[in-house]
Amino acid sequence: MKKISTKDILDGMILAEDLAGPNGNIILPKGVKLKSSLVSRLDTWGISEVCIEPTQDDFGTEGSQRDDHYEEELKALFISGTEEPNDNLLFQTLLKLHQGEP
Amino acid sequence: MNSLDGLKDLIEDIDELPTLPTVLIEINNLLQDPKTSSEEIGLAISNDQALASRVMKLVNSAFYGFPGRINTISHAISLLGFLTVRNVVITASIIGAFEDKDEGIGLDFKGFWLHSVATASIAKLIAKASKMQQTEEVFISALLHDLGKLLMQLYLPDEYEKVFSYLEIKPDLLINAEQKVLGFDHTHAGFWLAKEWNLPSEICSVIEFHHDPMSAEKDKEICAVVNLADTLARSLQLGNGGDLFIPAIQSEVWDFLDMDESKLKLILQNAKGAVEKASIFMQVI
Repeated sequence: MKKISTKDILDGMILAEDLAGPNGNIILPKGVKLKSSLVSRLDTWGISEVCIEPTQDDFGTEGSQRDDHYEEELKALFISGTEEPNDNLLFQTLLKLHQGEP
Repeated sequence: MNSLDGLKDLIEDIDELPTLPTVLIEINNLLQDPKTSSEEIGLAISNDQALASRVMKLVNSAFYGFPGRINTISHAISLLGFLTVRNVVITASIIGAFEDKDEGIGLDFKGFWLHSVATASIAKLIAKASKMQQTEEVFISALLHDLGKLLMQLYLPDEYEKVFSYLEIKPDLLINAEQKVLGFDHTHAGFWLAKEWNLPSEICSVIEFHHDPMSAEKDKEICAVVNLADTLARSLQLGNGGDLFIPAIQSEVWDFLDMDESKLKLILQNAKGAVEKASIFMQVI
């Protein structure tokens, strides 16, 4: 996790902590993918810094860590999670295909 | 007030709805008559030069890969069959109906069409794995399943901008955001337009029921195939139909299509190749 200025937000960065507005309400939940188009909105709420998840560059680019990244990103896309058997089968099959298993 | 009345009011306020070329109505009528000959259809298509040239480009493309050049529409019909030619004509007409509009805020059209082509290609793979006969109908209806999103993006831009603003704050499936913000969604809008355009019944059914296929009264199998294909296209991250989430697989759909692990694996393994091939289809059109 690292703190960056809202000006440095890039599309696809993942928010690492819930983001609260001036009145304390959570306006963006942790885990959300940020978009650079959000910056002006954050400005109007008086928010100048956000905590984001480390990116691939921060990890280095060795193969195994890249794969971990794919797994996490893919899992985050399953909006109802991967608990149900068919969703889990799809998730596991995609992982195997990604790792090049026959 | 019923929320679908809201849709009706909004659509009635649109000044100029997109129109399809009149030749499509003529071709549809001709195709419904079993006595129609290839020459008659060929003549009808040739009357619309833009359409005729798209059809000729497609039949001579690598998508079909016929050896040698095909020079006449009636020759194309004898090679491809009435149904494929009808589908080419519908696709070319719909793309033509929307092409002069500015993209606006919300959907990215390139991502949108790639998602549509990917869903269509994967739907065809599922249909083949399920030994279905109607693979052509599956392909065209999957290609057009999100027609309502195009209509909303281009003709209800203010409403759609609100939906996308909501999604920026609260990430969710686009259909959920549409329902929460507007009270109706792209399946209602798309079905309305498909009926207005008099599109074939399986296309209307898929547009209306691709998120809830088990409620479809007609064409349930095609709706189920497209529902699963939509989920698989999203899971392979091919294109972008407005949001990138993967909805839960509906177990009734899975069982209805008699899916299993080996079929799933085969479909996913072949998906990227099939999508690449189908992309040629879109470039030509």
